[in-house]
Amino acid sequence: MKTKSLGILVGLLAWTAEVAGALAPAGPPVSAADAPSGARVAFATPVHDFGKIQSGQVVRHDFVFTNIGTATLLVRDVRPGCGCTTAGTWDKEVEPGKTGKIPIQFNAGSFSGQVGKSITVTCNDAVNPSVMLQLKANVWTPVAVLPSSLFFALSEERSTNETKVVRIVNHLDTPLKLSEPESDNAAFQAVVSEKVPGQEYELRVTPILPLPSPHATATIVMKTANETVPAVRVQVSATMQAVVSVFPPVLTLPVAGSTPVSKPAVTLRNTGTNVMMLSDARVDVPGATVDVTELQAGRLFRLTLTLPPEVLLEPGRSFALSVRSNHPRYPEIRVPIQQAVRPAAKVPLARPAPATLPAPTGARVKTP
Amino acid sequence: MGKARPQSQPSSGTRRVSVVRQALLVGAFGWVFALVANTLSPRGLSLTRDYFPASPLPATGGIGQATAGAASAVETGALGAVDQKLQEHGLEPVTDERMHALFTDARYAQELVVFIDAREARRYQEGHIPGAYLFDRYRQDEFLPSVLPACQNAESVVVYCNGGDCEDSHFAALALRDAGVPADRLGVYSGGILSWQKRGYPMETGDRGSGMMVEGVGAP
Repeated sequence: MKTKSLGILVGLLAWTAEVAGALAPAGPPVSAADAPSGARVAFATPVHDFGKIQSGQVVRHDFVFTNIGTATLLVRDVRPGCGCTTAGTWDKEVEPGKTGKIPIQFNAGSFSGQVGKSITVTCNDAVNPSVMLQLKANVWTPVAVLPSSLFFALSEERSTNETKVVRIVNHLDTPLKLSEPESDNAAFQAVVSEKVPGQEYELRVTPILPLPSPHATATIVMKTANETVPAVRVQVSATMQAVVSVFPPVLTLPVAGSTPVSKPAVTLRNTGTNVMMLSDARVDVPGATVDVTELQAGRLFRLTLTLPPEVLLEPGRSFALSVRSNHPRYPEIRVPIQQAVRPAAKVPLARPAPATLPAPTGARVKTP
Repeated sequence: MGKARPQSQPSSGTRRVSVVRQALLVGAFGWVFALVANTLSPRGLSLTRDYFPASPLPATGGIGQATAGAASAVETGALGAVDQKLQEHGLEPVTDERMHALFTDARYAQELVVFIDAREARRYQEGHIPGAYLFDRYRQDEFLPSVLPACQNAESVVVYCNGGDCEDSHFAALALRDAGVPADRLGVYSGGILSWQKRGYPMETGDRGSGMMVEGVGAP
């Protein structure tokens, strides 16, 4: 019986050791002889939880990794999954047995509740060339601002001041008292009123016309006596839109010799006070015709071109679509026409490039 | 002389109790030994760690971090949550198939369907859906004046960012809605540029309308 018991005991221990060995996570090598060949990356923890943080707060974490291989580890790219997460300067070359770090910053911005964001790390580890890191946070909004920013699209002809409302809701345990709003741009007037004492406020923002420039921005600040939320901020911007706008501002025809897949069209929008009427639509491309469709009476029109097959615009000559209107300031509206060039050769993806600014827009409207 | 008393044999019940007792003893000894060995071993198991978490997050520790495959799982998990948030705000989630159908729709060339790229300028330059407008949602005051006319004149506006757990497209769509673009015309492409690229759909590099075309080459 004793022999049997001993046998069972040995068997059990052997099984336990085998299971433990199979399940044990790979850690740093015990000795150099155990190190896997090539470059190998091992993160201390690929998941970091910031815990409870405030909306708008910017927090940082350094992901630490070790090269547990035998060759130099090259960290080629660190690519956050969204604009809220940015990577600092990371250790790009790490020798065997050494550690490196990847600093990551997370902007809680206007998030709320449980948030998870990923970061992809690309390196020369043959086994794990792409490692996913993860940030977690529970974003708490002590004072909700709804919406967090305002945008006014204003029309030159409509001089009535438009007002937009922002709701401010206190989620703190203690009542919140807001100061009078202060705007850093006199083009915006702001008034705050208390709706539920200490709990809910309403901010009314009005742009003062005329704006000092076609596009104006402001930050409206209301101070509080609370240490957690010393001030409540609202971003405001306004753009003065043309009374008559055409989109796209330039009509681009298909490449010469190609069959057009669709009829080129422009949309004409009237934001003025009067109803607009169009007449005498013309296009000076040989063989082309233009149709006008009124989508919204006096306000929204679509001008659609019908082109001859394989249209070719004569180089050096300008072409346009034009239409007459009853608006005294815009008797004729002209939209330039150009022809697309043949696409360039295929280029490698993910090449570094400088930052770009948005393309200018706006119709070329002929005025008297 | 009396007869020798026969040696008493344990009853079958007593034998069973004895076997069970020995088995328990062996088991207990084995577990104590295993626990001690596990504690002393540098490769020992953590008794408090969940080695098989329900969530598809990467496992902690060691070189077995999540790879691109696991990344997809994370993205898939996040996708449902993002779609749910979109619907809470009355925004329509747009699938890969729908997005491609809109891209090949004649209205896209007429700018009656407009795509908005809510990533930062550097990522946009590296590759975007041909014809998409750049609208860095962290600099929306700068971009809104140029993007808004395109959105106001379009019948459908679809916003995208990286996809997965990226919510920049979601916030950008809400900013457009707050700026006056009707919510029923706004959609968000949940798969994002990574899914578009993975499916091999065309991409454009540089500025909008640069003509520098690349074919999708799979996820980076």
